[in-house]
This record gives sequence, structure tokens and C-alpha cells, in this order.
Amino acid sequence: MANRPCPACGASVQFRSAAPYAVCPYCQSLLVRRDATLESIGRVADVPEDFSPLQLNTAGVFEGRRFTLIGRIRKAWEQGSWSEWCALFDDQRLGWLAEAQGDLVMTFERPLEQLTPQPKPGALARAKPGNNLTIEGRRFTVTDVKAVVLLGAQGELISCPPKGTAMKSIDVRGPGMEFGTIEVTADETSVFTGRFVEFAECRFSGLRALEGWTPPVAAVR
Amino acid sequence: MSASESSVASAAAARTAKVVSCPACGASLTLRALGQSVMAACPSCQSQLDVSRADVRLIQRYREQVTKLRIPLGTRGVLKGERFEVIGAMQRSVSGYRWEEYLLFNPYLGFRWLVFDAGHWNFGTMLRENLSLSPSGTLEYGGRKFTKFQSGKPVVDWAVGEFYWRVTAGDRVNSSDYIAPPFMLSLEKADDEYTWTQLEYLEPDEVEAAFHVHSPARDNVAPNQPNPASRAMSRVVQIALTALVLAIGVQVFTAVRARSSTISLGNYSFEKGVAPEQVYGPFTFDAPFSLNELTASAGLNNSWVELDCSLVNTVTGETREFTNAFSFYQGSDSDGPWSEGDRHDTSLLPTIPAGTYNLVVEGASGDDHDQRIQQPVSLSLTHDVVPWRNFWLAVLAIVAYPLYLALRVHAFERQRWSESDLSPYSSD
Amino acid sequence: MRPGTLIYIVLCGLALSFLAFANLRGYVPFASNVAQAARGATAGHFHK
Repeated sequence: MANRPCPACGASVQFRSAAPYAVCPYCQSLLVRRDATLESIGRVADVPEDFSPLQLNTAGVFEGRRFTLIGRIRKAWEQGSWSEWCALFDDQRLGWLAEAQGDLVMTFERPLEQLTPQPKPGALARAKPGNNLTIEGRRFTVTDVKAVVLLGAQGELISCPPKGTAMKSIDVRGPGMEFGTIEVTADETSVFTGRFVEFAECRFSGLRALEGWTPPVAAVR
Repeated sequence: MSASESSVASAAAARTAKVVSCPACGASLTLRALGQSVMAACPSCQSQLDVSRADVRLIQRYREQVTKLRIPLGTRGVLKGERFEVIGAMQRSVSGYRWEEYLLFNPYLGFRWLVFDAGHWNFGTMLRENLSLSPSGTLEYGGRKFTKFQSGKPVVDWAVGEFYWRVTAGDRVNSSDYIAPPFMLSLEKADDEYTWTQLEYLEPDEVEAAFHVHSPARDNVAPNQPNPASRAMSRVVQIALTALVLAIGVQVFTAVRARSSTISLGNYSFEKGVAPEQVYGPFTFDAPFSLNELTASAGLNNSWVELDCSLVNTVTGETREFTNAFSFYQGSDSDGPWSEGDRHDTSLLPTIPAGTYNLVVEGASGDDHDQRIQQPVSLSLTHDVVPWRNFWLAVLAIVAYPLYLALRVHAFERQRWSESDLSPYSSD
Repeated sequence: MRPGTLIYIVLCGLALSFLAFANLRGYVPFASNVAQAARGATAGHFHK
């Protein structure tokens, strides 16, 4: 846990993780940590309001390990938008908890070398639903390819789509509940894999109150 | 503080649903799944609105009037133990059939579907897995085998409210349904996207109680409607098998205990000079109560015999009267040789108490010349025989209801498959 | 338990009871060639 001054407005910004990006809650500057330096690379919009029960500092459990939501990105594509929460685990590992279409998906970053076939330059840009690939020896099929833009962000983040340009997001599905995303920008490619999770499975605490609704009994079914 | 309340942070005020005004017609609409839904069709004018971003944008303007919804948007109800709110409604149709689909939302559990089709209700949950068919064309999921019921290309007639994709009137998908009552798996393919939904049949009163809606009378049989006779059937078959085993047990016990002892009585003679009333015995029946058989036989040839018999208890004088009669005719005509009748008859004498008895027989006979027959009639008495009639009557009583239920099961299944092109019951 | 199933259990019970008691007494129904038992006047003799 560390507090550092925002290079843009000087306000104290809290860092709980080793995540490279953070949004200053006072001036909405997007900050990048490179070694010891903290740099502001522009401003991002605040996340739009929504009716999600999740909020910053909501805690949960995934496969026996506790996590806390420390950041959020709101991403949009041509026909919709969704949230991705940055989850900080007790062992300092970071994951993404995507919240879309009423589903929750927990994914973790995988080394790019584990993606086969290794994408030649431009190959991923031509990915289509139905293509097969392997990540860490597990087989996946492409189900969706979208151009994605950033709508807003808050808190600490593993990565953040560059402002102004679209990122290509390739969704892949594995057997059972396995899910993955390959994110391609001009500069880099990232691979994330994980699976769908049930709301009750996560045993959330610190949820946002929703008028007229109570959370289901927090028990793994 | 309950377990569910402690999972909610008490700091901020509760978030409420957002009310916005439609950019096309100005009517106010409530966004109940903000952040999860991406599109809303204005309930007043049906214009398509993009609600996936902070500002509400018009996608496509319409000026449609929508008929009153069976379940109004915003209605909440508890199904399968969880509360849901109706946030969207649409009607789809294919080949002249129309049905309504209501999108349900729970902020913690996500989306579900409530489908109404001709009085039948189904609760739909989208599957995340992509299922694949076995080579034989069946589908296995959740430990059940699903059989293909039908396929078609349903089209959206209208849609109002919030949805998690941009649905428009006129949208068409390729759809296939597979059934394992009370479940149905529905596959929808649009472009490259596959969506599997599992539907569970709901009884109308469950939906009426949950959403305070009146459900009209059901028409025909729904593809995944559970067969009411089937549920009774398994229990009834269990009972029937138990009863049959017990019946066989009783019958075997009876058979083992039966004496079946034969008492040969000799002959009844129609010879001239012999008295018509002939007495046989005395003989003893030692079983406390018994079923006995008197068998009379003769080598008849186009003749008949009729014996008036009396079984008389030598001590009490109690008499049981009965008739033993038989006839046998044969000949030959244009179709070949024929015969009619028997050369013997067996009389059953039930519930005879133990005792000593005489048998008194007075007989008449005739041949084709109306003369008494020449042959003697052989008389044989079997004491304490195994009754078979009781056993078969009991078996009949036991199997009647299961057979009736089996017919009902079959009739229901025929009706179920009458709506399908893939019916295993051929109609020709 | 559904009423139909309950009635069926009773029916099976009745059928099995009938089977047991009828067999015990040597009784069969529908023995059509058996006339009513008639009281004889004297032992060994019968009146028409």
C-alpha cells in the first residue's frame, strides 16, 4: 500500500497493487507507473453510472483465494458496452472480472508465447469466429471479434485501452466454462484466459445497495 | 443483520433504477438493467434506443402502438426461489405460430427468459457452454438425453423494453429445439453466434402466483410438457409388480397345498334296463373347503349327453345340484370336414365342505336318430383342485389400471409429437 | 400420494384378499353350471 502524489494535480493517489495503471480520482488523469516514475498520459472519463451490485472495494472469493475490486474499465463496442473490474488477490496476483450480459468472467493474463499458432504480424487482425487456437495447451475457438473503445475508468488497472484508438478484442471459448480474450493494440498483444463464475460462488461482501433488491443468500450452490 | 444484508456495504444510499426520456417521442422510460442492457425499445413508440453509454441515443425511430403486455414491464415475481423483474418483452412467430418472450433481470443473477406459448409457460436460462450433437443426432446435457423436436426460422414481430443485444422487428434466426421433458434445449444461430437456452416447463399456477397474471387455458401439448400419466405410471408399475408377485405367491401356496386327488367313479350307462338314476360313492372330501371337478366323457358321434347331478352329503343331507352336458357333431361339406362340440364336460363344484358324499346322476342322451346313445359315460371326480379363475381375475384387476395408464401415456406422447415434423408416430 | 394411486393400492389389496380367501374356501365366481344348494329331504335321496 503506498500513496503517491498525482503528477497532474498533486492529489494523493492510493496504490494497493503492482498494477501499472491508475486513474486519479480527483482529476481523472490516467497515470502510468514505469519503474519509480509516475507519469500522466492524459485524462479518461469517469465510468458511466449503472445498476451493478459491484463497486470499488467489493471483496470476493475465487477458487479459495480472496480478492478485492480495485479498479474498473468501461469498454464499448459498436452495439454495446460492459465493465471489467481489476481484481487484486491476497497474494498480489491481479485478474480481470468481466461483467457483461448478466455474466461474470474471471481471467488472468497468460504469457504471449503460450498462444499457438503464434500470430504473425497482422494475423490476429484477420481473426474470425470459428478459428481455432491453443493457449497454454488448452484449445479455444474464436467466437467474437470486436473493435473496442474506452468509455471510462477508475481505480487501479492492469491495462487500459489507449485513448482515441480502438483496440481489437478477440473472444475465445474453451470446453465447458472456459473463456479467453486476446487484446490487440498497435503496440502490444495481451492474452487472458479464465472461466465463467457464478455470483453466489464469489461470496461477495461490500456490495453496493440496490433499491428494492437483496443479494441472494451467499452460499455456493 | 442477515447474511445477505451483511454482504452490502452500508455506506452509500441505495442505487435506484434510472428514468430517462425517449429522444423520439419524449415518453419517460425506466432503465432497470443499466449497464447490462445495451438497447431499449421505447414502450410508447417502439423506437430503438442505444442505452449502452451515458447518453441515450436514438438508433431507429418507430411510431408503433404496442398492445397491452400480458406481463407489464417492471413486474416483479419470484420464480425458482429467486426474484426477477420483467425488463423486456417481445413477440416472435414462425409458420403462423406466435409466442411471447419476456426478458427477466436480477442484478445479481443476470438474465432469464419467461416464454408464453398458447397457455404454456417456460423458464429459460442461457447456457454458456457450446453443446455438440452426438453422431446419432441426440444431445446429452445435465445427465439427460434430448431428442430433436423441430427446427425453424422464427422472426421478431415486435420488441419493447430493455435487451442485452440490439433486437429489431424483422430479425430472423435459425432455431432448433431438443426435448427431454420437462426440459428443452433451444439452439439459436445468428450469423456466427450460437446461443443455447435451456427451458424448463412451468405449470401455469406457478407463473400466475409469481407474476399475478391470468394464464388462459392451455392449447394442445407443449413439446417439453411433462406427461402427467408418466409420473403416476412408475409408481403404479411398482405397485402392480409387487401385487403380481404376491398373487403368484398365493397361487403357488394354493397349488402346493391342493390335494388334486382323483376319485374314479366308474360309468353312467344308458343301456336298456338300467335305471336312469344311478348313485356313486360314498366318497370322502377331507379338505375343510374345496373346489372339486366332475368330468364326464364319452365317445360321442353326432350325439349329445345331459346329466342332472346332485352331490349329497350323507350326514347333513345338503345337496348341490348341477348339470353336466356335452355334445359332439362332425361332418363334411364344401369347405371340408368340420366338427362342433366336445366329447366331455367338466363341472366345477366350489366351496364344498369336508364330509362324506354320494353323487346321484340322472342322464338323458340322443343321437341323430333321437335314440339313447350306446356308449357309457365315464365319470371322474377330482377333489380339491387348484382354482385358476381367481388367479386370472386378480391378475386382470392388477394389470387393468397400469394398462389404462400406459394408453394415456401413449396418447399424450402422440399429441405432443403431433406438432413436430420429426414425429416417431407416423400418421399414415 | 395421488388419489388414483391410493385407490389402486386399495384395489390391489382387495384383489389379493379375494384371491387368498377364495382359494382357501375353494370358491370360484361365475361357475355357471352350479345350481343353488338345495336342502335334501333325506340323506342319500333327492327329489326332483
